[in-house]
Amino acid sequence: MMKNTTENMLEVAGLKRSYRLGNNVLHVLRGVDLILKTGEWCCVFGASGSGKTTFLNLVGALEKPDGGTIRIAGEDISGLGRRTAARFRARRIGFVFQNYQLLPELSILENVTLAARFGGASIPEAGRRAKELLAAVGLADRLRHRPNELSGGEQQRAAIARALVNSPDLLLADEPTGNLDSKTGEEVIRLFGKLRADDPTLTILMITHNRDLAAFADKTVELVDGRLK
Amino acid sequence: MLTELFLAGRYLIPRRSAVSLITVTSIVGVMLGVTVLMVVLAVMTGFTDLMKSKLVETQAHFQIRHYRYAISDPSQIVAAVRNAGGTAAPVIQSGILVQYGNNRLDTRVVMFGASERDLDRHLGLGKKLVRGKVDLKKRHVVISSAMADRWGLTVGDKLLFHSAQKLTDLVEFRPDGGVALSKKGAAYLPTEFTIAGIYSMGKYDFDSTVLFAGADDAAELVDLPWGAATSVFGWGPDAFNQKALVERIRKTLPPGYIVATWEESNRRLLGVLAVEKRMMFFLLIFIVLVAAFSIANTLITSVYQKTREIGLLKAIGATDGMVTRVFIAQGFLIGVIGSGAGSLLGWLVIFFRNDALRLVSKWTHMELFPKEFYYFNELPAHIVAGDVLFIVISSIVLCTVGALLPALRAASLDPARALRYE
Repeated sequence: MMKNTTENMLEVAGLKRSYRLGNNVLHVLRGVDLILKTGEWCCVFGASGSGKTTFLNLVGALEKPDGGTIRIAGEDISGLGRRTAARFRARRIGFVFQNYQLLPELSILENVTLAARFGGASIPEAGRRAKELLAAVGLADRLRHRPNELSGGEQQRAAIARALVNSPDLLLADEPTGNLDSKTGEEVIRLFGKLRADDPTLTILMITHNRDLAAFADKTVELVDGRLK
Repeated sequence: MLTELFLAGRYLIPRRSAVSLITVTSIVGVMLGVTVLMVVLAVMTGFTDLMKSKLVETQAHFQIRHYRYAISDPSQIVAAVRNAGGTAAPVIQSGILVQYGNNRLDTRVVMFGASERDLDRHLGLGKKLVRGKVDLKKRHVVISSAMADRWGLTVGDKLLFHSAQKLTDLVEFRPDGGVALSKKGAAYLPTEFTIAGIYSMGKYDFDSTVLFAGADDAAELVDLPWGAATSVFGWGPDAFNQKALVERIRKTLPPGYIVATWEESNRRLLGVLAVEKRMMFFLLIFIVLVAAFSIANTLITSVYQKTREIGLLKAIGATDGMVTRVFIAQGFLIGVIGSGAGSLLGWLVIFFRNDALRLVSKWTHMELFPKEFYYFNELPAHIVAGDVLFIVISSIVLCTVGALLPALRAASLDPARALRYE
């Protein structure tokens, strides 16, 4: 698949998001600005409840901001409708979650194939791409296994394969090593590095509270009081 | 849509949770509903068919009579029917009073007066005889086995027939409004008949009321001139497809004549049977409706159980429409599998219905269908492809509609919130 190769892959300006809790309004993001160049790997640190996941959800078009703009490869996604946002996520964004979020009823091959199908690939093409990526993350011999038959590290590698199956512009990772022991976590992070080396245009926005990951990133920012520092 | 169907199938048959048991229960609900509907409608159709064949067996395909008078020259009407492509026979049909045994009277009897040849040819009276013979010479009758049992008589015994016409002639109204014995009635005597044969048509209503006499005896009893008839009975090549023939006959008859087909004469009975069948369908479809509600419940539970998975599907690009289709497809698949299995089970139940009935009769020592009322030893059934198709389509539609509410609920989930759902 052809990828966008604009200079700035992600441009976030004045991003605001608040939630109403009863009579109170909780201002989670108070004007976040961030620019990521194509191929850049950025780690966002922050304490629990600092709004890291909300920020990731907004960048991933899972939520709409109250204010500000989000541009991915030059396209403003802050005002997308539900259907357009879903299509955009399928084709342009890859998600990696802390708890892997693989569908337990499907084998890992089917999990990855499903994401490719949502991205518009035909059944044979989706299967081919899924097998290729699962082999690339070292799971060629576990294709027919269900998630509960795999270790945490293997599940996370399968989730990474799923995130990359549609060659997204932006890979969003929410605490990808949070559920893994340090050794497996490091293996997963090295996998991110390997994948980026294979595809230098892959832009990664990773949310974590593990400061050790800063060594792998090109850029680190910290979310404090609803703003990036 | 293939992807949605694939996901729906996987959600229906998971390998790791108790949801599969819930799925099986939903499918069994639909299956039982379809089975019951199919069996009941097949039996109702079979029963209706049997009733119709019995009606056709014991009645003319159509009857022609004058709206006011007896038919003085039925040979013209018989010829008109023959020219139109049917066959016909003049018949004298009248209610009579039968005196039997120790001066006991039966008022429920209808006499059919016709020639032996016509009765044998059109009603197959010879084949239906259980005792004696079809011998309708002067003052001889053929009665039914039901009458023989009721009256305690057999072949060779005597009966007295009172003509309703002659009884009414016994009295007359005086000019002052009172009633007096008429002069011509003073000489009236009932006619003695000998039982020549006993028949059984296998239809309760007919057998309990109809006896056969010769045409001349019947004419004498009802005071008709020689050769006249009260009606002409007609038969066509196909009793169930005679519209064109009846139309042709209607066109050739002189004014004042009425042609009533067996369906028109039994409109009320046939109407009741048709309404019963529709009512049974309407009532029994509620079983499938309940099954559809059970599907809705199952899927609503499934939506709550799978909230995070739905959030994930949306995160990786599933649109609201795709999520809706996944859950609707589950209802559809349950409907298809349930109604398919139900049709198969229904067919098996219908196929082995009589073996099952015999077993039930044996265990309960009860005759489920007493022969004296129903005249069949085996439960009739007729599977109509259109009925089965209607049941299957209705069931699939109900199951699919049952899945709509949970599907819309799943589609409306906000992906970010769904992913955080605990």
